[in-house]
Amino acid sequence: MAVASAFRRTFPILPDPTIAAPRQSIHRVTDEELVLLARQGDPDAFDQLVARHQSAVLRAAMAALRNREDAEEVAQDAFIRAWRSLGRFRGESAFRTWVLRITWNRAISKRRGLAGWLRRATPIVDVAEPVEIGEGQHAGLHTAELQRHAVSAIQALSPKLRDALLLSQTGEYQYDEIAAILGIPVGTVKWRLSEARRKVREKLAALGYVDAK
Amino acid sequence: MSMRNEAHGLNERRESNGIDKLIDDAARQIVGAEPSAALRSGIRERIDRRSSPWMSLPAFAGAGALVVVVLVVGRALLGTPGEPDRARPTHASPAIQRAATDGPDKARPTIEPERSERPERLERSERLSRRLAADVTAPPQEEDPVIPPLVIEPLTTEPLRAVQIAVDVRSGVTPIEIEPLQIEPLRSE
Repeated sequence: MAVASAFRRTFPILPDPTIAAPRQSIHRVTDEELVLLARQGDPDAFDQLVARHQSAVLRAAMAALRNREDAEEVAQDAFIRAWRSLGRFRGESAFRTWVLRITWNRAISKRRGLAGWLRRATPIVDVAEPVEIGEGQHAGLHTAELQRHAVSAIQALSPKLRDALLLSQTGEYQYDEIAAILGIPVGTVKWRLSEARRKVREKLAALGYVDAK
Repeated sequence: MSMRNEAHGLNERRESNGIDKLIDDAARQIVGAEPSAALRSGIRERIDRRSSPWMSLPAFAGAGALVVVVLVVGRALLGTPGEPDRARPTHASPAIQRAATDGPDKARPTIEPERSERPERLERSERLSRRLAADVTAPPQEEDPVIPPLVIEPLTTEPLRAVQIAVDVRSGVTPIEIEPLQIEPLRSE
């Protein structure tokens, strides 16, 4: 026994150099930690931030532009801008809110551009229409048609109401996040949302689909 | 009656909920997009491209070229730093010698010996400068002593005449006699 302990003291067990150290899971790393690493110039850390928030960023851009190409371009630009401005990010808000704000500002500037306006003047959203209509498909046709009109009614809303409605339907943001993106109080977001719905209902009622009250 | 109203209200709410759901679905259809793989890879590519040292090469080259241009232009405008010393004469020119003969009080000997790092050359130049200082008393800058003599023409002035002020005798004030002022013209030597 004494010999064994003396042997262990003399020849301590060293880790096997051929076995790689266990990899740390990135899922436990918070955004703040990733931001810290990215700020030190680690592109992998920033890549993780992109992976986490690309969907939210793209949908915010989609809500503003309603065009996939433009939205992807804006999302990419927003992330690059965020990467470059990481030094100025003070962490007063979450990284996600910060990057969404950048995205929204860029999307709005693009929307104001003439090129964007011209592109959106052409029909953008293709609503799937039934090709073959059987006897029992009248209800489906009715719903598809109704949805097409709903899409048109949403597109025709004023930008303020439409933005609130579309952002709320991305499934990505809470009211307070929408408020932060748009730079308005939460109460105003709720009001715009309800007003947008009311206006779309009115439009559909005028077409004879529903009894909008 | 109230039962019928309640039922009607419930129906309306159900219909309204259905319409709201339809509106929400339509809105989701507009914004419902999944990010493509190209988005993430494009961002990564742009970041890597920016952080690459080769990307900063044109910027450094531009800055370097700017510095070279500034140096060349500055040199051309101001001249090379060693030029004035080399251009300065180490021996007294005839004009300086002439000026020196006019008198020692008109000029100070300010000829500087040529700088040298080696002591032998230093001694030689010191000797030379001492000899020159003895011979030359004019500064090397004054190479053109031919200055035309200053000629000042005398001013011709007429004496001022003060007009006597008419004083009322009744006031009891006696008039003061003022002699006319004589101004002598300046004379040059």
